[in-house]
Order: sequence, then structure tokens, then C-alpha cells
Amino acid sequence: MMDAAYFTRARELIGESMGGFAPELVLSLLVIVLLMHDLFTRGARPERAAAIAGIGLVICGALLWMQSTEPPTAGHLEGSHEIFGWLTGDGNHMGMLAIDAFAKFFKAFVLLGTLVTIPMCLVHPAFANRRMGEFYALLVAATLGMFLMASATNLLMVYMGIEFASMASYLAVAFVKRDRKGSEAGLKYVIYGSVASGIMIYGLSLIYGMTGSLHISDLANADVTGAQGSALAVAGVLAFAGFAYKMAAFPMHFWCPDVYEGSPVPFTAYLSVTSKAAGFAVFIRFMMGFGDGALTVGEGDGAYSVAFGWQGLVAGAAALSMTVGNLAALWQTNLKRLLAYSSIAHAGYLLMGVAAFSEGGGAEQYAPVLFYFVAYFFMNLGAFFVVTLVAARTGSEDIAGYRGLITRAPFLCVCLVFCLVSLLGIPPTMGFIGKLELFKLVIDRGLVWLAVVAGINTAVSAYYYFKIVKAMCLDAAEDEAPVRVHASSMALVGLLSLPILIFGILPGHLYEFTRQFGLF
Amino acid sequence: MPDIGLNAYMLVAAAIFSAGLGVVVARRNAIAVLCGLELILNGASLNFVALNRYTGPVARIDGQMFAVFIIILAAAEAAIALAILLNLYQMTNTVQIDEADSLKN
Amino acid sequence: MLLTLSIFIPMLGMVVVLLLPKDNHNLIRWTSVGIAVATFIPIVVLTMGYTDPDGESAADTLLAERERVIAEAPEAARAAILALTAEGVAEANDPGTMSDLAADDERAAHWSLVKGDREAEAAYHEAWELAIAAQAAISQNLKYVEYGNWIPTFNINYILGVDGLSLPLIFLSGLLFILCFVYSFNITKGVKAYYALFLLLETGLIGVFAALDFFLFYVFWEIVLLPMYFLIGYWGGPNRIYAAIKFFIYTLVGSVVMLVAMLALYWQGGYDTFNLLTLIGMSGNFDATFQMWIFMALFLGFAIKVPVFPFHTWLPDAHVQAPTAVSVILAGVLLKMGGYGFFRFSYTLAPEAGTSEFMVMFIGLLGLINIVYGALCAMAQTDFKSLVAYSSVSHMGFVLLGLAAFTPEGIMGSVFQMFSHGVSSAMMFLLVGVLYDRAHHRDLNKFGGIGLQMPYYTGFAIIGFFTSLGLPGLAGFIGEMSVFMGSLNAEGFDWSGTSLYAPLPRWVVYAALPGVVLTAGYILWAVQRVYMGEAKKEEYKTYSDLSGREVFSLVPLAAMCIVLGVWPRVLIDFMNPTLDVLREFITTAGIGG
Repeated sequence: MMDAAYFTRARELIGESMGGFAPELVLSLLVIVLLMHDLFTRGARPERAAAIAGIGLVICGALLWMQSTEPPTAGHLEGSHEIFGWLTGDGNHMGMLAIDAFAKFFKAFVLLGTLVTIPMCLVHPAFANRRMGEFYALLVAATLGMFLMASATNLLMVYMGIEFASMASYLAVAFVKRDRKGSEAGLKYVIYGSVASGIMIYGLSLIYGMTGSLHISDLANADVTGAQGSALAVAGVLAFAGFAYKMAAFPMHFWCPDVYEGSPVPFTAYLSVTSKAAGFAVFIRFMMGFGDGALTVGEGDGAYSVAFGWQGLVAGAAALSMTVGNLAALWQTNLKRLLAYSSIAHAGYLLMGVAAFSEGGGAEQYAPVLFYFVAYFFMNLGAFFVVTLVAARTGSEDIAGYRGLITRAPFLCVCLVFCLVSLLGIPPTMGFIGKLELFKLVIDRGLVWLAVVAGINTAVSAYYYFKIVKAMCLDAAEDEAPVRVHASSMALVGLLSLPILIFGILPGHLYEFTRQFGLF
Repeated sequence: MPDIGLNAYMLVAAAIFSAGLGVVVARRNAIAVLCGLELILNGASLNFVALNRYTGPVARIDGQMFAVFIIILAAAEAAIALAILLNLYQMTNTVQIDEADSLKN
Repeated sequence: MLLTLSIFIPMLGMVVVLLLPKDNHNLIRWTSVGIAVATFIPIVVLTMGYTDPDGESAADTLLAERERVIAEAPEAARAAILALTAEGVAEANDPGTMSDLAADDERAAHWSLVKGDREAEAAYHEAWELAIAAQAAISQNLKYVEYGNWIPTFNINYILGVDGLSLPLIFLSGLLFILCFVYSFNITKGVKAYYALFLLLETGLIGVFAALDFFLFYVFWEIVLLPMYFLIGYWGGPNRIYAAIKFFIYTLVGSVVMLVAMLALYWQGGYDTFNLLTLIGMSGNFDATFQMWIFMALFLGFAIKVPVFPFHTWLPDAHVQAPTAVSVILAGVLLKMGGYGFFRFSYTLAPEAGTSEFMVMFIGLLGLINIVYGALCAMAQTDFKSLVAYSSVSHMGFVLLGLAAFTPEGIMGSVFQMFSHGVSSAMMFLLVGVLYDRAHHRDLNKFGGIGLQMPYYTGFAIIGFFTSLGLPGLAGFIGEMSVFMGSLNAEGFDWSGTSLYAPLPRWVVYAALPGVVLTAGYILWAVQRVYMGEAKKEEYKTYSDLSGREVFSLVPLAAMCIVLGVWPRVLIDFMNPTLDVLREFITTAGIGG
């Protein structure tokens, strides 16, 4: 069977797959170029490294944009969106990475997140006057890992993507050498992340044992003799541990506050948005590959179906993430930690939407989650950008340092208020529309209790978001000196904050746009 | 080789995994924690190889492939963890992880 | 057009004010007053035009819109949509039924022309919404309906309209804002931000009363939150930040629960609509348990605003800490949002639940508790503003009692009480503010003999406080008396032909009657302590009487108190057609549904 023709065909397939792999190839090349940049530069030129990174990312983006997600025609993995595949005995093509609209959305998302992170790095004081090529290389490497995560359709690729992104992240968190907090955060991140993914692959190994294949689409249809329902449950829970870690959801959220606090602010912003998105992308694919999570046990008349209650697990994790995140955020005084807990709570809201997914739901059921991600992009990055700027000028990351910001930096203050109001979810912001759609989806699918929990959590979160707003607008400033920032930074903050209002009032077109990126 | 059956391999793998998990949770020395991490990863590896041999489709080596990749990634992870730990050690002169408490709870 | 103008002129005005230089206080103040007047003009036009029988009714507007939607639909589907949404058959042809039609159903032929084509289906959905909305009983009295597509993806439309229930409240809001702006000339810090936030508040408030799309209503409801938070939190009294965040979180919890109810209504029966009139038209089809859930969820949202015991604890804090003008708007308009919500949303969307035995007793008892408990608390207060705040709690209890009665006098009294309370409590807060501006304290026991020094002020005070007390000849009496008459009649009323399961028992009303005595008690006691007797401090003798600005704020309210007390028909005739139809609908909706 594996004769010369087979190998020739395999080589052809790999060659053809390279076309679909072009954006990732550009990113890999970019990592090398950035590392070389530091080797061949005399003195510190952080802006040049940033420029190279930026240009490379834009090229990657252009390639991604031009990528067609239509199933390719004859001669190249016919009828499949997947690349790096192989032929199975019955003529099926099974690939490693999928080139579909869903992957494209998340890749574009991660790419834009990285692009916004670069200006943040340029204003961060710890990153001034030093060689930044290495850092940008790590950033781009993490982005590459997330690209792989977003399109992974093979369990091995899932693991590799997660590890790739995580490893670059571990190093980037601990990047500033003399910073004790950063190193501690990095150590905690490494240990936590590796253990989480170790637990995940144990679970994946059990799943592999039950299905006999590493491909995600094989998760749903498998005939296994002798498998017990409990083994499937254990495997599912263990695998979920790894995904929950990446999504920063309960019960694997404990790394989040420490890492967010210790890491340099631009990278915290990057993590909070892109890492979460990639985690969700890979988890959604995994979960939908599982379908109803049923495995057929036995053969013939004795066959019965064993189902793993994904919906229950995800809904429970969602409710607990929201509650734990919101309750813990209530008494935080460090803004980075508070935003970390808030992002745990948002992982909960997003998981709520994921819990409502069902096999027969069609491509439109993904739209609320995708739209909420777009909203989350703007509001979280906007908030973190302001935090970066204020920390750069005043050195403070505590809420106390933000007192009276309305008089010291009115534009930044107003933008931050927009972002916080959107994170809370009040009209007329994009965050409200996103939450509305998530609630609608959840209520439609009958999980009304989850919507009620989310509603109560939203109301509770008002307290800590408004603690910040109150400090900024109603308290007197301790130090009256105005916080001056460069016009370009202000423009960028405005660019991130304005869509929150615009799409909050007129979300129709944006919503229609995101609807087409659902999984098919 | 005599056939000892899938259960034996899975039992050993589970034992190694649990041992590793126990070490990670219970030990305070960072190096020991990394040892535990290795145990976890290797437990999963063993599981993959054994399941491939006994329940995987004929003439496919997916599980063994996965095991090889796990080894590679475990090595990379250990290198990263040790690098960060070394940096921390140079600042704090200890490898006990509960001494790393400057990030408040 | 008029309604859109009256809602968005304040918002545009806010932008204008933000562009003004922040040091020129007088410019900002007079510009804001000008904007408030500019908002009031369309409202006056609306009010005068409402009673004109030649005006275009809601049904006409909505049916015209339906024609337009059908004309814009794809060619092939037009006749089918017309047939499906024709008068009389539209009710049976809702989207939920359409999606699982039997093949031999005669409508299947029409549906097959529509189904599958996304545009046609959207057109059918909108036409169906409009058809049902046009024939809803409530629509008879709606005028000045404005309709537009806002977010077609989510079936959210921009629908505004007023009837005898909402127009008086809009009129009251418009008037109170002018008076508050003039009164606020004494604010000296952050003048620009103050007026800008106030203008945004006006947009939200008028929008709440005019919106006929549930989502639009919700958006306007939430727009009210942020300006209130800042207005209380920045310009308020010593404990303002606590009061502001308490108000915010209380209201937010209520609104979130309301949001869940809103979404449940959207999904119910497969109707997929936020159009309030459509939902009301189809509310007969909701089953009893669902109606009960919806009623309770909406109840929570509105009860916090009314405020109903035990959700009233935010009120004393917010009222006392807020600056005078904000308290006026809070008491005069914001509390009415809750009452309006009950009339417009709760009872019409869940009529069976609302008229059930349990709910009548529940609302009646809560009304009773509000009246008596509010009055008792008011009596115990030593802070003047706090006393007025609790009197608001007590007066809103009358609204609930009248609502629980469902008799014509009861409902009429309830709405009249809302309006008159808006006037009288606004006036009372202004009066307290006048005194506070001079004395810088509000301790009732330290006052005395103000009447001697400020006779004109005391004259207004007498009018205002006695209206609140319910003295015949002033506005408060009409509302209270109608509510009592209506609720006493509830048991003897002829309920045949309605779906009311049990009327309000008489003993509830008997238990509420002492509330009148208690009200008289605390008001007279307060008036006696403050205005009568000897001046307790020398400085009281130096107080100047009302300034021109204060007179301007008080005169219209005093005039309304007297006019409504002597000639209540002005308001009653305006409201009655609407309230009759509303009452009929609520009490008979369960029949044959």
C-alpha cells in the first residue's frame, strides 16, 4: 500500500499545502529576522525592531486576507479545507490544519491584537533603550502558535499549537530580567501552564485510545468495544483542564491574576485578548468535533450510546468563572489584577455562549461569541492601552494612582470610561450588544438559569468597574500634574474606544459581517 | 515480547501520572516540581504508545508520533522553566516556590 | 417627527454645551435653558394636537408602514405576504406557526412563496409585526407614531408613540427640566459637565416614555443610569458616593432582570419581535406560568424604581445626597418610570398573571405597606429632605393600591396620583432646596418661624405641602380620593365578562386609610416645626425671601397644583380614553385567548 506512488502523492500534497501555510511561513521567517536584527544591530534600536515586526505582520495579514477559504479544486485535497493531510484507506483526506472562515477570523483577530501591542511596547518605559528584537520575536512566535491553535484539526496540532504559544508567552512574561515580579510571574506561569497541558494530554491520550484516531472529526464517530462512560467522562474533564487554562476559565484560572500583574503591561494586554481568543478557537473546534459527545459502544444489537455532557461541564465552568472572577475583583486595588479577574469573568460570559452551541445549530450560532470577541478586542485593548500610558507617566498601577484623572488627562479618562462601561455591558456600547446576543442565544437554547447568573454577575461587576470610574472622575487628584501623552498614542486610544460607541448604536453591519465566520 | 496486555501499561502510566501530579502539588522546591512535571508528561506519553499498540488502527503510528513530540516539547519546557528559575534564583537566592510571594494574593 | 425632536434635541444640546467654553457660566446656563425650552415646544405642540380627532392614529401609521414593507418585498412574495398578514388572519399566522405548517394547510401555498428567500421572510416578519401592532387594542389611542428600521439583523426597530398615559408624563418631564435648569443657576463647580449630563438625562427620560420597542425602551432606561450616577456622585452631599453607587447597582440589578424578561418575550412562541404593540397583541397566547415569570421579572425591574417596599432603600440615600435639582427630577420623573412601566409593560404583556388573585393581593398589600410604612418612616425623620423622600415612598403606594383595584376610578386615580405626585414632590424638593440654600442644614428640629421672615416662600410651601397631604382643592386630593373610592368599590364591582379571579378585598383599603391620617400627621408636624412658631436662631430673621429664579421655578408647579385640584378634568379627560381601553384590555385579555 505504501508504495512509490503513495509517497509521490504524499510529497505532492505537502507541496500543495504550503500555499495554505503561507501566513505562518511569513511569521516563522519574521521570528528569525527579528532575532537576527538584534545580533546585527549596534546599540539599542527598539523602534526599528518594532517597524520590522510591524511590516512583517502586515505582510502576513495581506497573505491571510488573500487566502481563499473555498475548498480547493481538483488535485489538491479535494473537497477539504485542510492542509498537511494524508489519504486514508477509504479515500478521506484528514489534515492537520483547517483553512476555513472560522480559522481566518481568529487568525486575523490575533494578528490585529499583535499589531496593537507593538505601539504599546513602544511607550512602555521598561522597553525603552534596549534591544527589543528578541521580545518582538517572542511576540511573533506566540502569534504563530496561536495561528496554529486557531486552525488545528488534529489533536497533536492542538497540543503543539497550545505549547508553542504558551512557551513564547512564558518567556515574554519573564522578559525583563531585573524585575522580580516578572520572573515570579513567569515561573508561576510556566509551572501552571505545563502542568495544565500535561493533564490535558493525558486526557487526550485516553480519548485517542477510545477513538483510535488523532483527528478531531473522528471524535464523534467511533466504535469502541468495552469503553465505559466513566472513562469518557474522565478523559473529557482532563482535556478540558488544558483548554480551561488557556481560556483562563474556572477551574484553571489561578495563574491569571499573578501573571497579569507581573508581566509587562503591553504583554498583559496581548495575553488577555489574543491568548483567550486562541484558546476559545481551539476549544470550540474540539467541542464541536465531539458533537454530542456520544460514542457508540459495542456492536450490533448490543450497541449503546455513551454521551459526555459537554454542555453541563461548560455551563458549570461558565457560571463559576463569572462568579469567581467577579467576586474576587471586588476588592482588588491593583488595576492589572482587577482587569485580570475581569477577564476571567469575561471568559465565563463567553463560555456561556459556547455552552449554548449544539450540533444542529448551524453556522449562525457562533455569531454572538464572535461578535463579543470583537467587542472584547476593542474594550480590553483600549483599557490596557490607557493603563500602559498612565503607568508610563505616573508609574502607578493602582486605582489610587488614577484619582482625578479626569482633570489630568481628560481624553484618556473618557476613553477608559467608555471601555469600562462596555466591559460592564450598559447601552449604548458594543459590550452591551454582545452581552445581549449572548443572553439571547443562551435563553433560546433553554439555559435560562445561566443567563440569570450572568445578569446578576453583570450587576455585581458594576461595583468594581465604577470604583475605577469613581476614582477617576469623582475623586480629587493627589498630584495635579497633567499626564501628557503623545498625540499618536491618544489617537490610537481613541481609535480603539470610538468603535465601542459606534458599533454599540449601529451594530447591524458588523454583526452580519461576523456571522459569516462560523464553523460549518 | 510477552504480551502483558493493555491494562498493565495503562496502570503504570496512570501511576506515573498521579505520582507526577502529587509531586507538583506537594513539593516546594521548584526543581522538584519540574521533575514532577516530567513525570506527568511521560505518563501521558506511555499512555499514547500503549494505546497505539493495542487499540489503534493497524499500520498507523499516531500514538508513537505524539509520544515523540511530547518528549521534544517537554525538553523545551524544561529549558524555559529552568531559564526563568535561574533568573529568579539570581535575584532571590532561593528555589523554594513559596518564597516567591511578591505578587500579592 | 415631533417626538424624535423632543428626544434628541437635548442630546444635540449636550454636544453644543460641551463645546462651550467652560468658564463662561452664564452662557452655559442660558444655553441649557434655551435647549430645554426648545425641547418643550414640540412637547406642547404634541399635547395640544393629541386631542385633535383629525390626527393620524397609530393604526393608520402602522398599516401604512406595512404597505411600504410589502411594496419593498421581493416581487414574487408580495401577494403571499399580503394574504398572510391581512386583517383578521394575521394573528393566526405568526412566525412560530408558519415554521411548522402542515403540508395540506391552505396557508402552505402562500408560505412556500415566502420561505427560503431571506428578504421575503424578513419582509413577512416585519409586515406581520406591523399588522398585529396596528390591531392591538392599545394602538387605538396612540398618536404621533414614528417608525423606522434600526437594527434589522436583530428585529429591532425605532418605534415611538404617545397616548394619554405617556404624554402627560412627557409634558411633566419637559416642564420640570426647564424649572430645574433655572433653579440650578446656583451650581458653581463643574457647570458645563452638570448641564451636559442633565441634558443627556432628559434624552433618556423622554425616550423612556415615548419608546414602543422594548429594546429601544431598555436603551433609554439604561441611558438614565450614568448621568444620575455622576450627578449624585459629584455634586451631591457628604455621603454622595455611597448613595450614587447604591442607586446605580440597585437599578442595574433590576434592569438586568428586565433584560432577561425582554429576551424571553422575544423568543416566546417563535415571534422573534421586540415590538411592544405586537407582543401586547399576542399576549393572549402566552401561557399562564410564562406570564407569571415575565410579570415577576418585569416587576423586579419596575418595583425598584417606584420604589416598592422592600426595594426602596436606595431612595432616601439618593434623594438626600443628590443636589436639589437632581432630587426634583428623581422624584418627579424617575419614580414615574416605574409606575409607567407597570401600566405599559407588566400588565399588558402578562394580563392573566396581573389579574390573578395572587397578584392582586400581592400588589395591593405592597401598596398598603408602602403607604403606611412610608408615612411612619417619614414621621420619624429629622432631615427635611429625608422626610420628603419617604413621603414619596408613601405616595407611590397609592399608585400601587389603585393599580391593584382595576376599577375605572382606581386606575384613573393611580395615574392621576403619579402625575400629581410628580408635581407636588418636585415642588417640595424645590422648597427644601430654597431653605437649604440659606440655612445650610436641613434639621427639622432646628428650624422655626421661617414663615415670619419669608412669607411668600411660606405661601408656596403651604400649597406644596398641603397638596402632598391631600387637601381637597389641591391636586393630591383627587388622586388619593379616586384611589380609595376605586379600591373600595373593587369588591362590589361587576366583574363579569372579565378574567379577574378575585377583586381586592376591602380590608386592605381599610388598613391603608390610616395612612392618610399619618400623612397629615407628618406633614403638619413638619410645617409647624419649620414655618410656625418663633425663630430658633437669630440668623433666620436675616433670610431673604424668594429670589426671581426661585419664584420662576415654583410658580408653574404651584399653579398646576391648584388647577388640577380645582379642575381635574383637564387631565382626566385627557387620560381617560387611553386608560379605559387599557383597563378593558387587561381585564378581558385572558378571555377567549
